[in-house]
Amino acid sequence: MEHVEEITRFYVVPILLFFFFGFFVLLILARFFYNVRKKRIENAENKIIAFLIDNFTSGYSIEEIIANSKTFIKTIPFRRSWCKDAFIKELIILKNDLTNVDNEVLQLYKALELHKRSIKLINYYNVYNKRLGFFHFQELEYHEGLKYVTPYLKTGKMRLSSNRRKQKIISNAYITYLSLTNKPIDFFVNFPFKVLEADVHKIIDVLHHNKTKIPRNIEEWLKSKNDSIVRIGLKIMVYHNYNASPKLIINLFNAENKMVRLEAINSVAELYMVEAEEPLLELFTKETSNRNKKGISRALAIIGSEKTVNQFAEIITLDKTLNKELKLYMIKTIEEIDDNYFSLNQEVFDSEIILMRKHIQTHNALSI
Amino acid sequence: MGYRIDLKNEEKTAPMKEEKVNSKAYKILLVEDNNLTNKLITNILEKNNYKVVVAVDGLQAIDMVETENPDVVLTDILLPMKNGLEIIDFVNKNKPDIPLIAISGYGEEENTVVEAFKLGADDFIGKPFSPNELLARIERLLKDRE
Repeated sequence: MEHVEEITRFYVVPILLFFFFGFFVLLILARFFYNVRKKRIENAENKIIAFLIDNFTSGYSIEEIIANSKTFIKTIPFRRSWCKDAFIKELIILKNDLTNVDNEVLQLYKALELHKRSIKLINYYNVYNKRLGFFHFQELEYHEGLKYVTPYLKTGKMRLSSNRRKQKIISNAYITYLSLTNKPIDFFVNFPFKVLEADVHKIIDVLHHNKTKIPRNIEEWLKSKNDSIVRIGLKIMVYHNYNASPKLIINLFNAENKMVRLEAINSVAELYMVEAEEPLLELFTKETSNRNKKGISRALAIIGSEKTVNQFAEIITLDKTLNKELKLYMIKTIEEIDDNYFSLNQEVFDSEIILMRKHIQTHNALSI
Repeated sequence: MGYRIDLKNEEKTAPMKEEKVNSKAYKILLVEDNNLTNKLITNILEKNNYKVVVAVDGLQAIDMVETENPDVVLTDILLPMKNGLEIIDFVNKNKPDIPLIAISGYGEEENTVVEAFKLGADDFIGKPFSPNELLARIERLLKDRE
């Protein structure tokens, strides 16, 4: 027993105390160096910002800006990768803030060989770095960077263990490719994965920004087994006002995926496909998603006729279990198609419907 | 006396107006959390004889509307603490005489801009913007106010 006490007192306690204080000192040092580094980065960032603003708002030519920048980089730790990343970040912000500087920003990016930093990031194993490299090319519209993006469009080229990581990289590579290429985007129909919701928006944004032409195989997009491609295809059709395939779009009302159905519902309204009225009314009776039912109601307010008015009036009067919000949408739809309908048929409707109609009229609710 | 910001072709062919609304230094409250954008706009405005006070988040902006009594509020939409729409709503309810300009970022929803107008924004400027356009919009609002 005494022996154990002795060991504890002379060995265990001092060792524990040593580790405890050592750890404590390490924490303080880590925090200290973190603050020093943070301050260094902030200082460099502030200098970069001041330099960019001064040069881009003082009427210098791009040659002068490049010459100034060569001198300027000697005043910051430009060799450090964090400093290059900060420089690129501020260039991107500047390009997104000011008009008429795109070309100058790109020239400066190349003149300072910052593209090499982006290429290096793409070559890293780490997914975040790869995506950051793609992002640089995309934002700065560095078209020469396409050749570094293309290899990532094919799944087989990557030796990555996780499918999720592959998916993230390929998604980003595709978006970057779409934003940089001048070629038709027909190939996108073969995109192998589900596109994340955020990426769907990014893709559409890129296509709008670049005024990309409608793919020649756009109808194939609607037949794809990949639901994301179908949805993007529909959005592209709407953007280009392509209304040559009503049957294909109406067929999508039977799609298993409710998001695809909703996209098709919105598309027939946007493309003003009056032939979709009956299929929409039919879909309304069997649709299980309330969100889609509201979508149908909105679409019918645009392309609907007397048929819609009659069917909706029947449902709102007879179906006592009808969701109130949906009922409001349906009343609004009737009102949009025929604003005299309620006044002429007042005796048919109960007080709740009359109140809902008043609410819509007074508050101009549910703008369709 | 104004400065000229020579920003490439557009600005070279259409130099900025040197005449200001009048000689008084108008105070502009700029609400912007991004460091570069914030300094860029400040630089443009100060070169044109405006006095600029900056808030980097929504709460600070609301305080400064009260304490600084600015002539114009120029606010970004996406901000920490309280967003630009809340600031517009606050200014419109409490200081309805102060003209408001919303700055909308690239790719921002069209609905946000519509919402800004509904809440009382007098104008909006989309990114990327030209300095001349920004100055012209501020000047117009100040003239309208007078």
